[in-house]
Amino acid sequence: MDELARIEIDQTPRGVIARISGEIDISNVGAVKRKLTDAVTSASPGLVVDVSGTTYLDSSGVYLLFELARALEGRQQQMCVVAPPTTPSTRVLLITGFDHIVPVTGTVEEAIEKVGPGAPAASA
Amino acid sequence: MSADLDAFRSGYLAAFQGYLAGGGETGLESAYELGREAVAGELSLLELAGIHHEVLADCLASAPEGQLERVARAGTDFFRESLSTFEMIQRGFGEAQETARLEQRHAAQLRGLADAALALNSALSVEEMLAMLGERACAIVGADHSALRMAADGGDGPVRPVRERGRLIAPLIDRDEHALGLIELSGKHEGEFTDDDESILVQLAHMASVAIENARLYERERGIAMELQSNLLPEDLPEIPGVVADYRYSAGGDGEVGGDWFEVIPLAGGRVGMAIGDVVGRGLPAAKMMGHLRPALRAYALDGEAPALVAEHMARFVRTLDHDQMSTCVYAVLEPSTGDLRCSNAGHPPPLVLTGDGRADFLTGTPGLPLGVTTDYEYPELRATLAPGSTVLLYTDGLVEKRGEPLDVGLERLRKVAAGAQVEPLEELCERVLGALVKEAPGDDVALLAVRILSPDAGPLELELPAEPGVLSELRRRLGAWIVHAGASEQEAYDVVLATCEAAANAVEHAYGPSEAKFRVTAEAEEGEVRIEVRDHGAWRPQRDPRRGRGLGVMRELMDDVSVNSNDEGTNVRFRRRLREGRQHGRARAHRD
Repeated sequence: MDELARIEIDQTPRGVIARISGEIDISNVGAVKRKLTDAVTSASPGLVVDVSGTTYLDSSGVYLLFELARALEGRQQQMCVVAPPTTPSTRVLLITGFDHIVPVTGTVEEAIEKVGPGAPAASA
Repeated sequence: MSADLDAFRSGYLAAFQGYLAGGGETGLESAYELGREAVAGELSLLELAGIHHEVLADCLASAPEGQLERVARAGTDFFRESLSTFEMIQRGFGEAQETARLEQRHAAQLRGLADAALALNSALSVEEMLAMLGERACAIVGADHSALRMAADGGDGPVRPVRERGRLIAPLIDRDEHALGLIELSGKHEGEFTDDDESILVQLAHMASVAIENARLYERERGIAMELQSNLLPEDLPEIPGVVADYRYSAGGDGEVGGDWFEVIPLAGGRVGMAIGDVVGRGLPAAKMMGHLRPALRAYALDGEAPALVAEHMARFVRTLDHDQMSTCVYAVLEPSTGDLRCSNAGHPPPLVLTGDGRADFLTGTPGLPLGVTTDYEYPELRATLAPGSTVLLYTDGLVEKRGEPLDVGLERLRKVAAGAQVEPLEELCERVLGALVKEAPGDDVALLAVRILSPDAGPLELELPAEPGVLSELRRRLGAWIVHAGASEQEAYDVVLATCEAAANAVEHAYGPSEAKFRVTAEAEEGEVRIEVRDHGAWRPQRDPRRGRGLGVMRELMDDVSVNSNDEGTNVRFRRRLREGRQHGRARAHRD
């Protein structure tokens, strides 16, 4: 992956936590998607994508997160995005209405509650 | 005879203490014995009652909190018992009992008075005190109604208590014996108001008067200080073409008004005057001093005097004031079209100049004397030429001073924090500097004023870029820097960059034709509005691709008048964004937040 974005993957028993720092635009969105998809094995309860350190996220990035959530849902896995109110990415997630489709929380702890084992299954 | 009385008193005290400690029948027997002794010693009832009163008062005074009621009740029982022998000889039992009842009542009243004193002194406002005073007075004296009348300023009311049928009035009097008002009780529960009631109400009124007077003084002083402070902190900085300015004010930890002030003044010929100052000390005297300094500086500055002369005038002016407070001050005049900066410094920490390429240098030189030291002094003038995009940072010592550390260390810390950064919006710069240097509990007040010269030709940004995904990050940087120079706030800069890059991403993804496809971005700023155009040589089909629709949605959400026009030559996206937050956005912290 190029220098624009860095992804840290943390495999925990309660789900995969992916922390994305840097920027996501059409130049690296494909690579980000591959890395996130590969990180979630069928054994993982779900995926937490933490964009609190993501300084730029455009609509292609939002679309990637949306596609990813849909794919996971098909495999009975949950996804949750961490975006505290003050971070730049939160604005674009709200504008696009992403938070109505996929749960968005302010902290990793809240997110892991939503995806971890024992979390209520997605209704949609 | 008095030696006998003393001996009897000691015996009485020991017996009563024994009774308090042990209680029960044995204790009361000693009281009975005392009664006999009193008769044998030919004590009068008055003397016996007097001794009992003294002993009880001692015991009440040393009784632990919460035991007062018990001690008072025990006192009554003990006294009644000691009287039981006595009364058979001296007086009727009924009268003795009445005395004991009154004794108990008086003790309860004294306790009520002590409680009221505590409550009055912890009340927050005069209104609260007055409400409490009436309530407590009724409870202690045992009356149904209370009325409070406060005198208008200089009004004359009664200065002595009045007791007449069904009414008891006590004056509220200040230290100078002026009437503050009066409290009136009526509807006594049992019988008429007594001497004891009067003395209790007078004491209560006296305590309340002191508390009210103190509270009024405090409220007045605090009100003045707050008023002065709100005068010295401008709500909004003036809008001046060619520059943007922002400030932060962070109040010190103790809640007292500090001595920091600042000012931005539009001058003739498009020049900008800026000042920051610090009066030594805190509280009302410091606030008063600032109240003088700020308008004075403004007046001298508007006269168009050079900074060195303004400092001289200020020094002379300060000496005419009836305060012996010293203060420091920096005054600078900036000419935005040339970048010419002239500055005088009266004992204040040096201004810091940040250039667009990340350098940070103090504007040092021979420092002038603080104001208030002497009237006869020529202030040196410091000069510098600032490049467009440069920022002048004025601040007060709270930002750089730390106990037990040389000032140089603090100055270097500030220089390092401010240096090296890309051009960032002023609000971001101010927040960052304040955040890095003022830790959670600032001891001193901090004022920070930042003034930046915009590019004189704030000309349009015109970019022609290859239609490749990799150029988008470059576009973000260049547009981001340009829009900050155009005076956008942090949020506005983010929104414009995001919307433009959404349009650019479309141009890149839909570029057709020859391998060397390019697209153009034009950005213009005029009269508080930014206009962007992104033009490519491809064609859009927004309806067929959900991803495209999303990008357009983001643009429409963030920008005004978004238009997309396609023809044979390509696609043209235009939008505008009003910088409606204005150019300044100061925020005061702590108390004023």
